[in-house]
Amino acid sequence: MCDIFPTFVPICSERALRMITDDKTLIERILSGETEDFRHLMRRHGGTLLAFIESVVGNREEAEDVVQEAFVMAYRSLRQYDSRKASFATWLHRIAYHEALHWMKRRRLPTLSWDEDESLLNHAEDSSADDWLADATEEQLQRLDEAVSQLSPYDRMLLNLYYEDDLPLKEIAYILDSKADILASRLRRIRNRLKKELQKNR
Amino acid sequence: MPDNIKPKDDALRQVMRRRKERRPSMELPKEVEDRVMERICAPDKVKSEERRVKSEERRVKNEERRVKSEERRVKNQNVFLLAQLYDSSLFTLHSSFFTLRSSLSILRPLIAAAAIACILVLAETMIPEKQKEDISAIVAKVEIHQPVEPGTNTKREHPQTSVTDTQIASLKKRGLPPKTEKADKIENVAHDPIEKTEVCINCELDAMADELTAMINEFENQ
Repeated sequence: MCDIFPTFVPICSERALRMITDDKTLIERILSGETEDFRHLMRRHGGTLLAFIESVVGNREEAEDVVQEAFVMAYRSLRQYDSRKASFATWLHRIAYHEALHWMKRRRLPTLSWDEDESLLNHAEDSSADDWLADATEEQLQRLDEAVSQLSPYDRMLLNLYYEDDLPLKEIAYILDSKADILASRLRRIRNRLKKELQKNR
Repeated sequence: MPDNIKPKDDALRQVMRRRKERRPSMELPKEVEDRVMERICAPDKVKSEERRVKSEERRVKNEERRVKSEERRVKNQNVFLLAQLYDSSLFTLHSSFFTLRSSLSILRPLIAAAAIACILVLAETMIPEKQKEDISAIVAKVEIHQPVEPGTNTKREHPQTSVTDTQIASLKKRGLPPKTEKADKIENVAHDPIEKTEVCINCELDAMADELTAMINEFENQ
């Protein structure tokens, strides 16, 4: 139908987009030769991915370039995607994160290895922050917001993935190519640091 | 261990949610989408074109390789034939050489004999018949000549006189003047055998010289 009447192509595409809600189906269509369907995947996951990468590289334009590279890489590696290991969004985040690290290495920017920081994180085990953060006033929340803004991009990225995107630590570990335990320690350390910041301001 | 982070719904989570709400909704720009699609689709076209060009190049290369191999094959065949020809010619040459050598070993005495025969024939043809007879006669006389004992009958024992007579007769027969002076001289010295022999030889030589001169004259006249 769409081949006979080219004017119906946008309608057909929109209809198809509405019909195809599953990433897996879209991927199958793309792999079968419907390259244009990759645009739907980009529209679906592009925003989240861009926010995530911007939190890593700290620059919108650079983030767009990294995301572009990430999508191209994702398309080329689409056959290697295994839906049993992780969701397509998580897989895309992982690819984008590695692209961001590659971008940072090319620009000789300091990159963080989560594993190297493990020994430091183990010393920071303190659950007192949990009680303190459990009930906070509005003023405390504002000061907390300021303290979060002062965190390093890596810590902010971890907080974004854990709190904003609500991803489980296992998936975050998959994205960041690390271990869930290490990331949990890292999160605890961030929380303790935030508590200290708030106590200083008090 | 990850469970120790709970509860999630604490102050930090609230702050992060607020931050997310504050942040303008992130959408991938259309330009980025287009660039990605361009890069995704372009390689397919480029690849298909490249594949076509490569297959064409491969085909041409294969054809060239085939032609080269054919040329090499023909060349090798020619070289082989040439080598065979060379071998056969060499063999023929060798066999001919050996045949010739063996033939030569057989022919050599034959050739030598033929050469000798030719020389003899030539010699036969070159010398006139009469002179041959004369020479043989002279040789016979010289060979026959024996020292004469004193007191023997010289007329009977020395046939030079008769020879001289026959010679004179032959000269007469050919119309030449007889050598009367010499004959006289022979007759005069007939009593001394050695002197007579010398005289005979000299006379013979003179006679031959005269005869030769006469022959030359005759030849010139003719």
